[in-house]
Amino acid sequence: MKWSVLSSNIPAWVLRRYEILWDAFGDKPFRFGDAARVLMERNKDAWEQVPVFLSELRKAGLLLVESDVQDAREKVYRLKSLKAESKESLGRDGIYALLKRAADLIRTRVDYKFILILLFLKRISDKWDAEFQEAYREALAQGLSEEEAKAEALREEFHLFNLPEEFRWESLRKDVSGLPERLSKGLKVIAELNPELKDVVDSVDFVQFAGNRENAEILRQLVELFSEKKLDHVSADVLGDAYEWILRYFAPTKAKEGEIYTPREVIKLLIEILDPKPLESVYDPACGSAGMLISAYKHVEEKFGKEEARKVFLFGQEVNQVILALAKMNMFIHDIHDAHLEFGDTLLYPKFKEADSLKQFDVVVANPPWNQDGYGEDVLKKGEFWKQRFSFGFVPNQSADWAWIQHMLASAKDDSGRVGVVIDNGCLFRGGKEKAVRSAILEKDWLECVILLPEKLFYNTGAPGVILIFRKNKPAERKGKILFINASKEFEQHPEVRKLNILGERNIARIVEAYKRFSDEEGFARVVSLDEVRSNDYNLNVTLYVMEEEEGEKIDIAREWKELKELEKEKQSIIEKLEQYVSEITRALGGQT
Amino acid sequence: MMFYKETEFKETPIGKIPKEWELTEIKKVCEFIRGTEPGSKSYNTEGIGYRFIRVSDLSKQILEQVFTSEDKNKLIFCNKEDILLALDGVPGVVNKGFEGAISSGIRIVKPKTLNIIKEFLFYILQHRIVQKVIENYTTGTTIKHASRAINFIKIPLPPLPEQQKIAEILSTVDEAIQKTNEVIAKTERLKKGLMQELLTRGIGHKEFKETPIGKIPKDWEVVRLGDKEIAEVIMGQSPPSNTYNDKGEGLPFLQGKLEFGEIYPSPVLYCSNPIKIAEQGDILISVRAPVGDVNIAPYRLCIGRGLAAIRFNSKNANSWFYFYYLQRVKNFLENLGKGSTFKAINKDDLTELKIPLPPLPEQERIVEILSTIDKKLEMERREKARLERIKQGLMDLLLTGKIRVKVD
Repeated sequence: MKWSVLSSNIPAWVLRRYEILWDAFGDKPFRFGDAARVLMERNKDAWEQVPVFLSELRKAGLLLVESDVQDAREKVYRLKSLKAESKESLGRDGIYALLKRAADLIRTRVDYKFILILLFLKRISDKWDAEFQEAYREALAQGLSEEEAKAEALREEFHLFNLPEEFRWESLRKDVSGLPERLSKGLKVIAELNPELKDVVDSVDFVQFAGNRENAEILRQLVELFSEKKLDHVSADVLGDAYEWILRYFAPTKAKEGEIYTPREVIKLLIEILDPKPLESVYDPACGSAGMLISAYKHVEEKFGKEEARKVFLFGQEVNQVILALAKMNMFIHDIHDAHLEFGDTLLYPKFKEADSLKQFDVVVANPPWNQDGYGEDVLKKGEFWKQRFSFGFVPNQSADWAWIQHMLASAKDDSGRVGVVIDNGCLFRGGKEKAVRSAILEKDWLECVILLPEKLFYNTGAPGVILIFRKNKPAERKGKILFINASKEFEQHPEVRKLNILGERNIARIVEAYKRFSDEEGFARVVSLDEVRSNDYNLNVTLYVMEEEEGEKIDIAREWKELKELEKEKQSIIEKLEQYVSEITRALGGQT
Repeated sequence: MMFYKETEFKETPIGKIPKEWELTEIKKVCEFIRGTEPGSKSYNTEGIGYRFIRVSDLSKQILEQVFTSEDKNKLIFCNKEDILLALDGVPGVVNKGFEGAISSGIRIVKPKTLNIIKEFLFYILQHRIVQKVIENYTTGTTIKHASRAINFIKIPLPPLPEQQKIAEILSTVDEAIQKTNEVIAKTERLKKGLMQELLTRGIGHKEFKETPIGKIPKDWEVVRLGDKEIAEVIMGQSPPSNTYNDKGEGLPFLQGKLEFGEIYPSPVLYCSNPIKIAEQGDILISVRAPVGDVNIAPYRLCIGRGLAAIRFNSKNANSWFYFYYLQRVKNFLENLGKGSTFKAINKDDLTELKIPLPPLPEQERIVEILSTIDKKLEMERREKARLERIKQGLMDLLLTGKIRVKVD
């Protein structure tokens, strides 16, 4: 944040009032009365204090004073703008810089969810203020008095969320004492007043968090940090990216705790292949922080526009309450307001039903937990819809991979359903019960494509993952065939985390292209008949079918040979010189001079 | 005649040196400039800042090149001509040809008087005379330090023109060694190219076909390694460790690829109660990470869990041909291993492995070509070892003055 040199000498309490006035008037002229009203309402200043503040602002060079053209006794005030960055709307880089400072503040001492909730709270507070301002101005324009306009602007219908004043950001931050308690209480009250935020904002306990003095200090610093910037002018896009940025920044640490975050590039690849369209339904049975669903939305938005994007129906289920809360916040921050996110253990209790059976969707997409244990036959039978979902067979206790895949297949519409799953390599060729399920599903000819991903893409494992694409109703030219893509070399170095790889834009494009073409590409892709897969005993290991291009370049033997001959000639002349020395020395040793 | 045997010596604290030569403390004629330690926080491998040279770079352990973003005023720089001496970590390593900032474990050694030249200094530092002192004054267990040694190193000083000549001769050997390294590298590349060509396209074929293992000559077949007519796969098994011994009782024992050589392994242990046995001529392949390395069994030996033995049917398959071929599919095998927890491959992975089957005479011709180039590699490597021994011998004769160089 670059304040002008002026501001570094200005006391915080003056700056705060400046901000409030700037927010209300910008650089437009206003009168004493206006300023007083704003300061009294927004900052609870007393009437008598206002002239003092205005005077201080003028001394600090932030306030211009002129006489009213029509009445010389009246003064007209105007604020001078401080150097750019501080008050302009934040661009993407500005936000990332802000978040990086926040992240550095907390490092690993504090759970990153606190940043996310503070960000969210600041955002909705700012939005509330902006909504208020707009409604107020409109009411004034319609001829209401200031009092009436204010009352009007307070009404719920102008606001997305119902935020009582004492729990809006400005109020919360003004009084540093008791900040954790007031934050906690505030979040609870907000959740009560706004049912859609229940279990979302109140999922984190600030009181417990700030119980330790260090944390309380960090909390105070975080609040100050976010207060510097106005976030209402930031587009949902940028803010959404910011939210994702935080998730991604903390992914490596979170991975150690088992919180799985799917790299956004892998999601992008999957969504581009599945290509959701307007009026289609998209379902993620293990939605985590809703990355896949949001990506599906953005995909449609980019291709068809915002109006059409709102015609994509998003459904997700997540077993972790707190992560589900993050998912809901993620949706709000991206300005997506009609997603259906449910809580529960999908393998046992899938929440989306249609009459008495499982709801089916156009696009089913997920990165379920890999090799989950504890979902053997006994356990699955205790859940709902097991007959419908696990019709190809039950899975061993040690890995629920094929249970997830079956659930996803059962959740896909029979005529237009397509399924994309990110899963571990092993499920392609492990034997036993898994092989039985795999073979049965293969015989249905639903499997369209198997993609082997590079190593070190994921935060919690170095193992390569694979993508499986199923289509219940394959186009005629793809029936009886499966496309194998060996993308294990399609990666770039991760820009931030040294030990990780990332799917670059070109890599994604190449893979999507290969999928669309559905044809052979030596060393990269091969169309394999179902017969050949059968002859390999239903083993889907990609490397069995597509061998990567050879290591390094094609070596030109003739040229290498020529160069070798030259080197040998050079060596020969050196050796001759050496031999001369050595034979002379030997002779000298022999005693002659 | 350039050289003559010295006959007039004098005794000195470092042993006998020619009467004519001086003996001096190294500090009197050289300055030692120590590098700095900017701290690992400033290190990066993305090329930001200055190239940072550490002891491990000097001793040629191939590591990533490290850079430091430290302020240049806090760094000590060297150029390609400077002689670098490590006194920490691996004390005594001498090298030159680096350019960048040096770490605190390294010294730049520069002549500071007119009676010693850099080229001579470079070689005397490598000699036992200096190395022994460094060794004697090395302290520390985990990380070794030898800075004190500088105070105690004494070196002989031949007259300047003689220093020049000695340096000339020794650098000729260094050149020869360097050239041999280049020849070896080039030959290895040639071998790789020949393997690429011969093992996938054979000799003199005009027609090719697509197969699950790629494009191969039309009259080659594709078979599985475990096919009865091709080979038998024997998975290793580790006998109880109380049957291991180093006294030669029983059969030589190999647990994994640790003792593998370029072609043949050098077992260190024996096993008195072997369970799985490889016969002479069998191909040995490592089945646990790192997967896919191959050697040939030079005699009967016992194989442990980390290895498998592949016994080819000589009526159809030439072991040596597949010794070369299996080297090319190492990556493929490694990938197969990645699916499992221990990154190991199992018997099925081997028996199901699809391999090409050229006609036997062609296999043999390919082996002839490849083994010829292997022989050349072997020869060059031996020559390199010989040259290094010659260098040691020459250093010993010339730097101690046993053999003198005539100067006109």
